[in-house]
Amino acid sequence: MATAEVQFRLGEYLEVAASDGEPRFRCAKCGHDLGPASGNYKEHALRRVAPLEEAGPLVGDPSRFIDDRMEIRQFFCPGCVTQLDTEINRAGEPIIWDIELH
Amino acid sequence: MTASIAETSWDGVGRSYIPDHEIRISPAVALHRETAEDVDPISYEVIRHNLWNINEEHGSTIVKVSGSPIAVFAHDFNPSILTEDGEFVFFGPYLQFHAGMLDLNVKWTLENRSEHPGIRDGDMFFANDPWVGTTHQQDAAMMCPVFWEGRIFCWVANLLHFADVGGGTPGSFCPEANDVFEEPVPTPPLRMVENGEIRPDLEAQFLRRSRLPELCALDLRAVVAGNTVAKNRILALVERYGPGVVKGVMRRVISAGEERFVRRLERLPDGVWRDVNFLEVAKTGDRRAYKIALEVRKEGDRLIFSNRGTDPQTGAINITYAALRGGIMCPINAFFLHDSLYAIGGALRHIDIEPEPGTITCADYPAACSNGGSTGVHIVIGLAVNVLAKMLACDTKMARSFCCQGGATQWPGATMSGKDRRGNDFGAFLLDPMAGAIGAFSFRDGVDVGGLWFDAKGTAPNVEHNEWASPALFLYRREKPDSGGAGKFRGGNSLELAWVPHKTDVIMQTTTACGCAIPTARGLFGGLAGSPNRYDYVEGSDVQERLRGGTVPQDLDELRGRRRELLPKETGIAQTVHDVYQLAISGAAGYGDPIDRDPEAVARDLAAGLVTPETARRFYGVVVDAAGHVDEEATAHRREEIREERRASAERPS
Repeated sequence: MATAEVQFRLGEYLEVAASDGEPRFRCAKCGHDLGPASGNYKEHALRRVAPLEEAGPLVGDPSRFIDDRMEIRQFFCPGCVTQLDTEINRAGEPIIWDIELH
Repeated sequence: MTASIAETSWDGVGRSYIPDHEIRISPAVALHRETAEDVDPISYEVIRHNLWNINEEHGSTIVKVSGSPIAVFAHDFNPSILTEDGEFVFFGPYLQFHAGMLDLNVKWTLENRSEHPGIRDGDMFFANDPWVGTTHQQDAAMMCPVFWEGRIFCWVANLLHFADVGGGTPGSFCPEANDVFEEPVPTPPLRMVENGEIRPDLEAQFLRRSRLPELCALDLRAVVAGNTVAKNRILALVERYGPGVVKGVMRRVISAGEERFVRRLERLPDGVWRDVNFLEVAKTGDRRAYKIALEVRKEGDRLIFSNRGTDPQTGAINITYAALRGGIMCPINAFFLHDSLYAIGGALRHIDIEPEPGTITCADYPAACSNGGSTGVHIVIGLAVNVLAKMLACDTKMARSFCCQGGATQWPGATMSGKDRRGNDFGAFLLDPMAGAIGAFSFRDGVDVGGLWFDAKGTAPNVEHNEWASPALFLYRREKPDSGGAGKFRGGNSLELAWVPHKTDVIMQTTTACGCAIPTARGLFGGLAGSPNRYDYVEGSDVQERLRGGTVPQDLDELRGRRRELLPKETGIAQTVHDVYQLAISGAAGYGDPIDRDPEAVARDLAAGLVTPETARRFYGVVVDAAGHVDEEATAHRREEIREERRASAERPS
């Protein structure tokens, strides 16, 4: 594995490190590689999809009011299973590409 | 007809008004442009703070003259000083999303009213047209040109939420509307004040729309008085220091804010940050969710925002360009300009918005917009918070500038009307969501019932005020455990309250909310969402028997009766003295993985009743013993169990 120099920290659990000259995301806790900084790190994370009611202790069944199927998506580091990010999204919608670095 | 109107340009008629960089002003109006370039530092500071204080006095005048709780408590307004051609010099520390609007109204007036009817000393222009520049029709702008020796030296202006400006529903939030023709009438800028006097013909025309004409008449005088005070103070300043010097200070205030904003952008990498959230129930009877998207692209010293990907305009949840821009400006002002005395004009020089027209967040005429102030603009604020927070997180110093989403991320409207205890008509819009929570920071917990961070001077009224303003008896108002989003740093808890009619037979209730099915305060970096809004109702309860027996119910479960949830947009609810109405206001979002939270912090939250034992175990993985102390071994075991659950239930990347 090539040595990587940390360029900057990005929030609680991500950092951008240059590996062989290419900036890449990695987990700031365990150093696990999460893909190129120009891509979506979530594509390189573990992903759990669950009913919306699991988004919090006071979140109820959304079918009380709406017919759309909503879900919570949790993204974990494949190395240390830290929860890197969560999404509340409609079933079938693409993963949100939340950070794209140039 | 609608289609042909919508095909026109961004002129504030068929499509929202977006001025060109250089606005077209008739030569019939002369502008004062001379600027002293060599203002000494002492004079600069003295005049700069004078201008700031003038704007503050403008705001406090509105509060003092208006009798409306919306002005007095919620501070749902903002005063501004703008240059002769409509660039912000000072904005006020009141409701921040008006930052996207007042300059638009002034520029539209300059472009469209300079020739006919003309702009003269002593005039003020009134507008509540969302396509020109308001959140919704309830928000009305009053713009006052300040003349010096026959030329417009600058403008003072304000935007205030009026209590009722007509439409099909008391309070003017119209959840059943299909288009603007079923809502309050939008008014493009018109000359409401001539020679310093309110025109009685136009005032009568305006008040005739309202269910609360006396309150609206007071509000009208409040906004005129605010402008008049600010205008007179600025003229005194010009008299004392000379027009060139005062104008020089105004220019420098803007450029200093611009430099500070650009210096902060320089610390951040270029890139694109995106987020998506959902509104729900576009109008009464609807059962769908609607996607709202926002992205920000940073290119050097510019931020370019776009709402592309947002669903087409629909129902009664739309906003126009002005509110999209205003929602974006809330976190810009708070996260980037917190130390700039709200001098936002310089930052705006570096912000572009590329709106997708015909969408929920940039709706074309004649979309229904009256609920925009409680739905559309709040969803944009939250999205702008998240995209900017993830940008700011790229710099360790600036990562301390943001907070997660909070502060009634969807305002749960509860509008009451009927006869009060004296038999008079009354109308009240519950302002308790002003006590909503503040989201977590990157270094500490959010603030329980901390209020709306984007309305820094706003407050929630006390319960006694509520009971004075409406014939209701409030059973309780309290913090709601578990309502703050879980995280390494917990989102602030919000509140719940319940009431029954008192000394009246019935109160007519209307709900206008999103964020009941889908939580809208989204967590950051692994943090979880705050709780959703919730309207609970017990029909035909035994509450009156209990009150007569000397007990005030403290939980809906104590009551007999038929329990149901009210719909997010429901009208015609006739609440009798036997019906108990409980409103829970959305909580704020958490930051970071909940199982990274210090177990001792969870134990403190448990002891204070801020989280429940089940939430501590399920979401935080923390177990305490009977004495309330952290059981370290059980906690370590539970957290490892959560990690195993994650490994077992998650899909591996392909």
